[in-house]
Amino acid sequence: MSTPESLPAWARLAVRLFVPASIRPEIEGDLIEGFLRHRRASGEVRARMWLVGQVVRLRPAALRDVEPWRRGEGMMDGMGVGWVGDVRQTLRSFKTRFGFTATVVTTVALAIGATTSVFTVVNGVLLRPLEFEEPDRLVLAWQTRPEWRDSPNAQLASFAEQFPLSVPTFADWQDARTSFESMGIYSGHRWVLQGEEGAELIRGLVLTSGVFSALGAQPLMGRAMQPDDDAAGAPPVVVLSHGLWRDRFGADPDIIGKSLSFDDLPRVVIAVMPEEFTVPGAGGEAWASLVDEEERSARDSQSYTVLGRLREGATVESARADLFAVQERLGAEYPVIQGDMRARVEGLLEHMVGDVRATLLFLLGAVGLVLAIACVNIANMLSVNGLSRSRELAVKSALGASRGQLVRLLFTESILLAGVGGALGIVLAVLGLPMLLDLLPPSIPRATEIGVDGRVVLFGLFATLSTAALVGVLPALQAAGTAPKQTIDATSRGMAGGRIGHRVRSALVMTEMALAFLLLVGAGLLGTSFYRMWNVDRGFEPAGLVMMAAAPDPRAYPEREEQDQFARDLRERLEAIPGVEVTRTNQIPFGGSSSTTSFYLDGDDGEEIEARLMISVVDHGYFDVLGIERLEGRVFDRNDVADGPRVAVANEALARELWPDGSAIGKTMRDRPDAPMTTIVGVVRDVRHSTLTRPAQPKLYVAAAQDRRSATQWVIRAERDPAGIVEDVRQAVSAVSPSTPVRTVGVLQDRISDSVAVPRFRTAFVLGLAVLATILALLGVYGVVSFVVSQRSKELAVRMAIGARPSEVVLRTIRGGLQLAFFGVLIGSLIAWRVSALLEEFLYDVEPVSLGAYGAVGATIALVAVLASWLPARRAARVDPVTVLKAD
Amino acid sequence: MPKAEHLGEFEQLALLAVMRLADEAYGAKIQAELEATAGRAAAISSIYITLTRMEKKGLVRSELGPPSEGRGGKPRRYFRIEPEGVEALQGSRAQLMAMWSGLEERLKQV
Repeated sequence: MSTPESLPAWARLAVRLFVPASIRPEIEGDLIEGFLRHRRASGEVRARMWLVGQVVRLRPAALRDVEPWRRGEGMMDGMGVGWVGDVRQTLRSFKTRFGFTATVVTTVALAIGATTSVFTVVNGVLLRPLEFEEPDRLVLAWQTRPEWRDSPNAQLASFAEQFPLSVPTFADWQDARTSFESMGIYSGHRWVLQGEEGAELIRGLVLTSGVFSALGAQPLMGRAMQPDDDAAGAPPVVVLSHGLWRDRFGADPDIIGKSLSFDDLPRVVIAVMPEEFTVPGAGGEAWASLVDEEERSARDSQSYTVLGRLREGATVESARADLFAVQERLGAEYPVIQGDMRARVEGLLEHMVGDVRATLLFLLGAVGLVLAIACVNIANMLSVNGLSRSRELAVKSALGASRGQLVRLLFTESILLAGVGGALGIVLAVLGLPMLLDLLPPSIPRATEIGVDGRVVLFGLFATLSTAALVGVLPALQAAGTAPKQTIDATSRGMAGGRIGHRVRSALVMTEMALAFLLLVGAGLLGTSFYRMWNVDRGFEPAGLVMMAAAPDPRAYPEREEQDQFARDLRERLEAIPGVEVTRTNQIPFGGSSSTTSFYLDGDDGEEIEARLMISVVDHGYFDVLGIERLEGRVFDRNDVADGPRVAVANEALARELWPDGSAIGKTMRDRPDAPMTTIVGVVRDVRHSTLTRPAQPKLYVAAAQDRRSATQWVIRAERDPAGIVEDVRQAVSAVSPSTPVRTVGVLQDRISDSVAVPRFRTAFVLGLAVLATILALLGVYGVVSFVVSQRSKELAVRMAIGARPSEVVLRTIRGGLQLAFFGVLIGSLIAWRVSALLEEFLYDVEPVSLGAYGAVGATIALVAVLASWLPARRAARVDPVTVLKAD
Repeated sequence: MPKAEHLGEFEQLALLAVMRLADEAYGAKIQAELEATAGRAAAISSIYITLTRMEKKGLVRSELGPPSEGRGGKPRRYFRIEPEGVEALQGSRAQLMAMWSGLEERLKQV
């Protein structure tokens, strides 16, 4: 028997289960009323039957749509409606608090978008496996020469870790291999391919079949390269890339078996590779078999890199140990050439991404910091917002909402905010990807692999969920601590949030400032470093210079005499371009080539001393055209002819190194013990040659007319825009010799700019992030100070009512902001100091721990804090005490 | 003038009940009125679903009353018809009347 004025338990349960809480009270009331009416009229049994009919027809799905009443009636909001109800309620509250919601969502979207974008690049370049079977087993190997590691000569230093192999050495490695399933060698090569439209330069590799078998690559058409193709006396063959086949041969379906002239050597096309195929890390448009018979036996002709596939279970270390043993044996056998040679093995992917890995991870870390700042900021905003809603929450609590329900409600809110922001962020990252790819330096490896895949989306979701969790904890904890009575009372007295809440929020803002400090310091140091690098004294005037390389076609110009004629004709053509000056050399600064040679000079004790120098073969106009300053003596002129006395010009580094105490003028040296002596007639300024960061090496300029080395690189100084004459330069070459391809042509300034593309990108990126972080920190301080001011408006009003001047109120408020800034900067400095080593490898001419930078950034943050607290402070000072005090 | 809402049969009954009950139009009373006057044993949920749908269309509005005696202290939700609701009822009535006109005599003949 049910008690009067209530439903039987089963009916109550059904109502609880099937009727949304928002309309449950009135429906339950109606059912009670109907039940009682039927009981009075027809008795207990009839009433129960009626009730069964009602419960059976409750139609819970349709009832769930019955909610519009709840709008504006909020007393029972969010109580026991479940997650769906929480979500709906939250979405509705977003509408009413549009500004707040939009700010939070935008912040999350930007932060998640930036983080996901950087991750997309990291994923494509570093994480995505190479598109080969079991790519982890692919390795590269070289010889090493440890004693060169500390050589001041950059080329030797780089050879210390990666010294190429000769064909005979490779044969020995292959015979002895234990850790390799298959291995091959390759070496970069350029051929002149003669065709109907003239000569074309083809870049590719000379390689052995082992490279293809290690990669496990099958041709699109034709047959794979076989070990027979590597054998001595085998007919020369070539494998074409898909791109070359399509662009140069119009995708000729009958290309297999045809013979092409590569540098005048006919090679039979045996295969065309699929479109996506490339030799990773080496590339090429064509891959040709090894045909140079001399190289097969020349142990001192070392120009090949090994690409191999490790056996199942073998590791880079085991492969290295194997090769080490082989190298020791070979060293004993051929002490002159291989005496000190050891070996090095490196994973293929690792090698490809080598230099970029650190930069990308650094950027990911930096963008992660911004995400962290954004999270802190949002947590703060939600926390402050939660407090301003504490009265609402307290009322809910008083009406019976459990703490769990309130926490759930607030957590739902955080998750929704982060979710919407995160989803937008992922969309932003996807849409912004083409823009980001444009910004990436061209030297980034595997740029074509960068794209959005499952892992990127997962990362975005993970970042979003972490954000939700991070930003949701604080407001939820706050709600959990809500005691209705105190809150309602406290709110009316304007003291909400309490001391602990205030401390937590202040700590958050300090964290934010510390993180912003880190980014700003990083950006400052990188910026300074880049500025110094870019403005380093290059030793010459690159603006207005065009560089071009064109080695005369050996068929048309087989002899030195004819090659000199080609140079004279080409010079004439080039000088015919209006407003230019022309010069030639064997290696242009930033032109990509740099080689060193041994020179010999008489030592004090009469013994000949060997010195390794960079040799620049230049004509008489070189120093003028490049704008290289003469310091001492003279430079070359037209009288320095082939049969005249041999003369040379030294750079400062050479003069300083060999003759630190006196003048270099008049000193003599020669490049072979039996050659005539060359006299140094002048000293010129140092010129940066390979990169802006590497100081000039000792360099000897020799006169082109007097040197047997060919000087086939041209530098043209244009009065007008250098880009405008590039085509004229190209045409000059084909006018002189249609069968001579132009190897490179371009504006020199662009080359220099490209050489610093990675540091520029890194700097610009971190700078952008730092600005973003500063804005976020500014918002953070502003938010907290505003809140504190609004909470203390009564106290401030009382102070002003009893005589405090508005300026005092402003100062007090700003002091609060500055306190936060001070501790933020303090924490930031400590962290910056601890992690400064991470930055070191990216810095040029800048110390990673710089008090100047710390100070400047600290001052910036203080300024931000002052600005962010000044606005609310001014507002506080303007309040009319009477209005505030009357408010209750 | 916008086209008047087309009302379903149960919608008409519910609206008419709300009008007849005036200030006393809440769930249980509407249910009793439908049963007593129209002979319809409607489910309480159907009444809420239907009236809510019409509330969304602006034909009625509702308001939660204070906790009440005789129903376990639960509040009543009072419905009131809006001018649009009256208009819709009139439209439905006119439509029916038009269809009925001239049929009285024939009905007698059957």
